Parts: sequence; structure tokens; C-alpha cells
Amino acid sequence: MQLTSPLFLFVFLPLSFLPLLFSRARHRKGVITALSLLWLLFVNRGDPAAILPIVALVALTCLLSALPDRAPRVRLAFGIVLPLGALLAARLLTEYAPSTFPYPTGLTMVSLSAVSIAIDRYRGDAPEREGPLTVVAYLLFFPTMLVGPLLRYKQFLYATEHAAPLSRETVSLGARLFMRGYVKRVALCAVLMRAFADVHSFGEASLPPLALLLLLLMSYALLYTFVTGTADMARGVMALYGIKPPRAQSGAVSLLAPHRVLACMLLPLDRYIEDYLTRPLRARVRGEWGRLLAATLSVLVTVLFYRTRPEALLLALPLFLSAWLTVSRPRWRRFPRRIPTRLLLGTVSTLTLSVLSLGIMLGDPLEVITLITRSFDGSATYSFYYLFGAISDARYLAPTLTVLALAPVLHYYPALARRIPRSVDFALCAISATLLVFAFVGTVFYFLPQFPTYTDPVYGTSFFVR
Amino acid sequence: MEKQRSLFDLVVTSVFVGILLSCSIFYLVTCFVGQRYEAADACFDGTVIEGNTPVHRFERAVYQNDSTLARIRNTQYRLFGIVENENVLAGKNGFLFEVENKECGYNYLADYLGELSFTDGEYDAIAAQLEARRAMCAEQDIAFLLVILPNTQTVYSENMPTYLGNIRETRLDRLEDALEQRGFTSFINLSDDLARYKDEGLLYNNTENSLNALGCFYTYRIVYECFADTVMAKTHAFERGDLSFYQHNTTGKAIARAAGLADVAQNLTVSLSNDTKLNYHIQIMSGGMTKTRLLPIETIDVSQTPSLLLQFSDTWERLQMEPYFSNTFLDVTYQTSLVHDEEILKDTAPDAVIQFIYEDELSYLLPGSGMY
Repeated sequence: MQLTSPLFLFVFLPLSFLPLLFSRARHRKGVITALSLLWLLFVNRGDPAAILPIVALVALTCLLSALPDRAPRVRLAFGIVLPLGALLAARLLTEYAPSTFPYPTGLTMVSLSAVSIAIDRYRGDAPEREGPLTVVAYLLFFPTMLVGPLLRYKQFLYATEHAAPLSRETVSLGARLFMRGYVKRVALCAVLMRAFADVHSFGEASLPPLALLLLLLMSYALLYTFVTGTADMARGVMALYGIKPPRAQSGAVSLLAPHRVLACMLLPLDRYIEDYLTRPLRARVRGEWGRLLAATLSVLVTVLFYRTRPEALLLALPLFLSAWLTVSRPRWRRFPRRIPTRLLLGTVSTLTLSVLSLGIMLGDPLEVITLITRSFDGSATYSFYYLFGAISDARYLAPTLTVLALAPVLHYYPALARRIPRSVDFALCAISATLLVFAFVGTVFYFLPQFPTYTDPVYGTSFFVR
Repeated sequence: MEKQRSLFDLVVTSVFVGILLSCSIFYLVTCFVGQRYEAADACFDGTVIEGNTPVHRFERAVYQNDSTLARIRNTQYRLFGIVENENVLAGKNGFLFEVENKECGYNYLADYLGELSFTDGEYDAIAAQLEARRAMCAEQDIAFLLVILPNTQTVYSENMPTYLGNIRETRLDRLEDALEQRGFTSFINLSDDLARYKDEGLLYNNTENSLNALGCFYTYRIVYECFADTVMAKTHAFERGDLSFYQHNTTGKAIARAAGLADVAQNLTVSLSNDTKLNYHIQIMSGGMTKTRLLPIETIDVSQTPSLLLQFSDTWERLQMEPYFSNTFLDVTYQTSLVHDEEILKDTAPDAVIQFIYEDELSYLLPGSGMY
């Protein structure tokens, strides 16, 4: 039962408001825990045994939390190694023997959350003796279990302790975030995914170079809409429940720092890595070597987060190069001022990231190289025109890609908003909300029924759910 | 500004909650109260939701709802000209084309792109088979003619999707050359002939690979003009001016039905006017055979008009051609089979055997197909 599932949208979400409306703020955590447990049970209704790894991890984390603080470093070590070890083993098994091991839903987020508990406790950022209810509420917080946002423990504690009562403002914010995410995930991402599958199936023979370019751009747009769409929906649900959601990263569409884009898409993965990995590393390894090592690890962890295969790292070599340049050449840290330079850099970054995103999408990441070599060997037997027309959703692609092309405009809107009167800003906000509502209604009635195996993976294979 | 903001939040909240609740009530009512027959055979992507738990029924109400899927398909077709069926191509001017006919193992698209061909051995076999059939008829002093009816996409190739480009050399073109090379000439390929008459009106159904009444009329005229002058002198054939046709919209035919667009993709059906005088009566109608006899006509001695045995692979063409041939020739026997039947030949004693076969059925001419 993903957040896009009609069962969630039309049954679970409306019903979940009832206990929240009638409960006090101090009981909010308990209500959310109960909802999360119910959600988890429902998601795994087809295969109840799949819940066992999650239960084991939660039990382990609760046990570690309950242990006295006589050996904090030992507790920290276990709190990091065990969840990450389990996560790595599960991801590798899923990659190389998928038929033998179905990946438990939410294992990635639960593992990273368990690590966050261990580190925040060790650092003193979180109270030492929070009850198991708090730990369970954090680990199983269902809106974020699939693809984030990746909340740190201290963030979750602060957000739940300062949870706002349900009001028009919180529900309005939540509704707009959720609708935006839903349109991205179902209307844009699902359509792109179908077109991607069509174009890729032609690649069984060969692809003309322009078709390969289309595939690359679609893969990047697909990854972006999937990750940010899910994050928006999760943030929307959090806001609907009165929990302040993390802010979207403005760098998510900033292609001028390509080594940061993937981490910024999955918010706030970059902050998670920064807080728990790179900053402590730079504190211990000083100077440029420390910064280089931190940058390398940051890119490494980000790429492995998306795809736990060494081949994906090969495709990410340009990102490593970008990170190293940014560290070793201060000039690269400054965004170019001239627009043509920005456009050129943005284009190069897009293509670089597209190669990696295509590798993330495909079963074997190195198939990207095969596709590229085949497309330039002149073996394509048909023109690009034929391929483009043969994609049944070709007529959707144009508006979809147009909308995505507006993303840079939206990226620069906050800066623009500071220069326009508040009344104009409010009017634009109202217009965009109106369009959003129409888009949401259209998505629910027109796109949702077309994708049963996408919106609810019970009836098919999940797409990029790790 | 604060008041406006508050009002804005109230409106957004109300609309969102309203949408969710409306959809919830709608789908829950459909799920638990709606009749079972409202469920479509499959979801939009072909998957099927099986099971009868409340969850399955709810999911079916969303994903496998007949009216919802019909609405989506209709909207896609009306707005974007998209047909969500991998075996159907949406062409121009309301034409729908099939991609593959699994029944006769024929791929229309591959043929259009010039990728379909018989092997040399198959050409030899077909030529030998046809020559044998012609010889069998000749032994009994019966003329033989094979009439190959082109596909819709051959005659109306300009209505195929632009991205496919122009029609390439088809299997029929290659077969025509091959048969001529092998000395068999008792056949006629109507591709170019029918194309000449396109300006007279629509000759094919736009949602099915079949000739309409006007197309059948011109087929009849082209076949008629193949007869010798001596034969034509003894017959009174229809001219275009003798007949009136009318065009009307009907529900989509086979291809539209297969794509679930029968109600949206209407067929521009051309029919023979109901007041056409039929000057014949049906003598025999049994099994796969119908025999008609021409009634006396003032201007000619009908007893001198030839008799024909017309063989079709399908009843539909037989029904469409009957008003023309039966009104022209003395005894016309219609056989819904291309298989040689010596008994029918002896009973009917025709002056000519004319076989009608569609371009997509050419594989029936191969020995061992069981259809010839």
C-alpha cells in the first residue's frame, strides 16, 4: 500500500484523521505509532513473513536503547554496524539474487533511522531514556518509510514534541504538498515510466542516437519525479498530521553541482551524510585530504544508496570528478554568473546525471554502455521518428517534459518572490493551487486507473522501492 | 492579507477533503453495492485483480471498472488519437489499422515496412498449386481467375501514421512478380485498380480490414472487365450510375471493438441503397454454399449469360458481392471456402471459377495450409 495506492488515498488517509482529530497533542505520537503499525501490517498482508526483518531491527534498536550507558562506544558501534550490515546484506541479496530474497518494504529507511538513533544518543542530541514507544514511532513512521524524507532522530523528536494541532494552515499545507507529490508520482512519473519501458524495449535491437538521448533524459526525469514526488507526498502526510515537514532542498534542481543533485533529491540525504559521516570525518582528517575523502565518501554513499552495485559507481565517475574539483579548486564552488555558461554547465550536468540515472533504472547498470555503443554503430534499422511515434504516450511526453523544463523557473521563484509585492505573490500562489487541484483531480480520475501495477505493488513488481 | 491567507487555506482544505471523501464514497459504494458486471475483463494494463475480499473488490472498483476504463480510452482517442492496444494503430482520418492477425499469422506492420516475404521455395509451391488449380478447371473447360483483394493499408496507405513513412514493397508485390516470373498469369492484384477509384468514395471500412459496398462494387467492375468482350456482350452489368450508395456512421467494427473503442471510433459505413432492384432469387442455401439464379431481363437473353463459381474465405465478402454478380450472371454459386470441391464443380458446372482472397490471407495459398 504505497502512498499512491487508492486504498491509502481513499480509505486509510481519511480514516486516519479521525483519531488525530479527537486525540490530544501529547497522544499524537501514540496515534501515529498505531497508524504506522497498521500501515506496515497492511503493506505486508500478502507476505506477513516479510515483516520479520523490520520487527527484528526495531526490537534490536529498542534493546540497544534500553541498555545502560556503561559502554557508550560499544553501544554506538552495535547501533551502527548491525543495522547497516543488515541493510547491506539485504540490498546485495536483492541485487544479485532477487528471486531468493524479496526486499522488505522500508528496510532502508528503518536501518538508517536506527543508525540515527545510535549516533544522536551518543552525541547527546537526543534524550537518553526515551521510551520504546518513541523509538518505534520514529522507526516505523510510515510516510517516510518508502523513499523518505530521511528524518534524523533529533528532528523527529523536535517535530513531534512541537506538533501543531490540526488546523486549516497545516491541512492546507499538507494537502498542497500531497497533491503536488501525487501529480508528480502518478501523472508524470508513471507516464514517463511507461514511455521509458516502450523506448527501452526497442533498445533490444538497437536505438538511434536521438532515441538514446530521449531515454537518458527520460530516466533522469523519471528519477526526479519519483523521488521528489514521493517525498512531497510524505511531507504532505506529515503536515496533515500536524508534524512540520522538512523543507525541500533548493539544490534539488541545481544542476550546477551535479555531485549534490542525487543527495538533494532525496531530502535530506545530503544533510544526513553531512551530519553523520562527512563532518566527523573532516574533523578527524584535517586539510584538503580530509575534504577530498569526505567528498568521495559522500558521493559513494549517495550512489550506493540508490543502487548497491559496484557498476553504478563506474557510471558515477563524473560525479566524483565534480566533487573533487569543487573541493580542490575553490573557483568551482562559485556558480558561474553568465547565463550561457550556466546553461552549458547545466546541460553537461544533466547528461552526466542521466547516464547514472539510466544505470539506476536498468537491471544491469552496465547495460548503459551497451546501449550507447550500439546506438552509435549504425545498426538502428528505423528512424527516430518511428520510435517516437510508436511510443503510445508520445503525446504526453511533450507536456510532461515541458512541465519538467519549468522546474528551473520554479527553482528561481523564491528569489523572484522576494522582489514582487506580497499581493502578487499570493495571487500567484492561489493560481498555482487552483491548477494543482485540477491536476490532482485529473490524476485521480484519469491516470490512477491506468497504473494498477505501479500505484500498488501488490499486483506487480515494485518500482525502485528499496 | 492574513484574512485572505486564512480564506485560501480554508478553500484548499475543503476542496481536498471534499475530493477525498467524494471519491471514497463513490468507490466504496461501487465496490460494495455495484453489480458484478460493471467489472471489466482486465485492468487498463491487462492485469487482472482476482479475489473477493473487500480489498480486492475495492481495488477492482478503481482499476477494473468498465465505465472508468471506457472513459479513459475514449478520452485518449478523442483528444490524442491514442489507442491503448498494442495490436491497433491509430491512423489518420479515423482509420484504425491492425498490427497483427494471429489467426492467419500475418503481420500488417511488417508487411507495410517491407519486411515480409515468401521464400523462393514458397513462391514455387504457390505457383505450382495455383497452376494445378487452373489446370483442373481447364480440364473441364472452366476458366480460372484468382482475385487478390488488397488490405486497407495498401489502398489507403496515406492514412497510416506519418512516422511509418511510405508503404514499401509488400509481400503481395513480391508475390505478383514471382508468379509472373513463373508463368502463372491467371490472377489479378486489385491494389492499383482500386486505388484509381478512391476519388469515387470510401472503398473500405475505416475500422476493419474489409471492403464496403462501394469497394465491392468496384471489385465487381474490375473483375467484370476481365471477361472477354464476347462474355460482356451477353451480360448486363451494373454501371456506377445504376446504383446509389449512402454513407452513414455506425459503431466501430472489428478493430475498434478489439481496442475497446466501438462507441468512439465510428465506422464510416458505405452501404448499397435498399431500393436496389435485385433481379435474382436464391435457389440453394446450404452449409457453405449459396446458389442464385438470374431472373429474366428484357434486354438480354439471360440463358446465354455465363455461370460462375465464386469462392470466398469469408461470408462477409460473399454477402457484399452477391447483389452485383447475381444480378449479372445466370447462375452464381458462392462457396465460402477456397478448397477445391469436385462435387460442387460438377453440380454447378460454371463457366468460370473466381477466387477472392485478401492480401493478409496469402499464406492460405501455401500447400499444407489446409485452407486451399
